[in-house]
Amino acid sequence: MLLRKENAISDETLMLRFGRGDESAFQELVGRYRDRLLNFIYRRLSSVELAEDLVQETFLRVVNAASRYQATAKFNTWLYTIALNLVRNEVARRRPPSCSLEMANGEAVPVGLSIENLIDFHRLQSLMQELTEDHFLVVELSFIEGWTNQQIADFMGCSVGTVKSRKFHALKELRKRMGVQSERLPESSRAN
Amino acid sequence: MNDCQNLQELIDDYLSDQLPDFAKHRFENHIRRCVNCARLVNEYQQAAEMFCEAVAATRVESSLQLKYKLETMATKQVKPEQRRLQTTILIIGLIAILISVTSISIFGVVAIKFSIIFFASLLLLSLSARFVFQKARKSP
Repeated sequence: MLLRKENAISDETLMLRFGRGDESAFQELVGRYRDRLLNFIYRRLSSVELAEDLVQETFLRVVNAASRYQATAKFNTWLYTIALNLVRNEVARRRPPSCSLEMANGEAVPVGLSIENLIDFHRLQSLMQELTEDHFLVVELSFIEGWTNQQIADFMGCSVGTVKSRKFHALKELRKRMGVQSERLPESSRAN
Repeated sequence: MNDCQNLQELIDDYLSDQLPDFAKHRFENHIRRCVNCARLVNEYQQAAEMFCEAVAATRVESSLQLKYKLETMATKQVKPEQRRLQTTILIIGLIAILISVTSISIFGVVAIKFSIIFFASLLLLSLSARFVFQKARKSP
C-alpha cells in the first residue's frame, strides 16, 4: 500500500548539485518524480496530454529556479506546490470564475483510456466527489505518495494534528462510501 | 485517556506505519482485546486499500515525447556559471577592442601587431576557460 522509498542521495542534495550545473542530478530527480507528478496532475485534469504539458511546465520552473534553490524546504513539497498551483490555474482558466475548484469533474471524459480503465477512472472520480479537496489531498499524499504527516502539514500549511484529523475523516468518509456502495448495489439491480 | 479514545490519534500512524515499535505493539495488543477498535482499524485499512486500488487502476505512464522533452530540458538551459563566463568574456572582449582601437589611433601601424597578439591571447584564454568550465560541469 505504501510507496515509500529510501534514496541514497536526498532530493535536496540532487537539486543543489543541479544548481551547480550537474545535469545528471536533474535527470535523477526527473526519474524519481516524472510519473508520480504526471498521475498527480492527471487525477485532477482527466487529460494525459494536458497533464504532460503541466509536468513539463513544472520541471521547467524547477530548472529556472535551480541556481536560486536553497534547501530550506523539502524538495517534493516545493515540486508538488508548483504542480498544484499550475493545476489550479488551469482549472480556473477552463471554468467560469463562479465555479469553485473541485478535485475532478464527473463530466470530464479522460482521454486515451480503455473501457476498463474508464470504469476505474469514474470509480475514482466518484470517490473523489465524496471527499473535499483537502481530504482527498491528505489521503493521496499519505497513502499514494508516502509522505509523512509533517511533510503534508508543511505542504498544506496546517498542523500535523489537522492532517491526522483530515486523514481520519477522509478514511471515515471512504469507509462510509464502501458501506453505501454495497447497500446501493441491490437497489440499482432492482431498478434495472 | 484510554486506548479507545486515542484511536483517532493512533490509527493514522498505525496505518501509515509511522508508529514507534513500542506504541505499535501496544496498539496491536489493544486491538486484539477490543473488538470495536479492531473492527474500525480493519474498516479503515480496507478503505485506504480501496482508495489505493482505485488510484492504481487509473495510473498512466509518461509518453516517450515527455521523457525526451524532460531529458533535453536541462541541456538546453544556459547554466548560471556559463552565463557568468559568457558575460566576463564579452566584457573582456569589449575592453580589448577599446584598447586596440585606442592603441592603433595613438601608435599607428606598430599597435596592429600588438593588437593581433593581444586578440590571439584572449582567444586562447576564452577557449581554456570554456574547456575548464565544461570539465567542471561533467564532474559531480
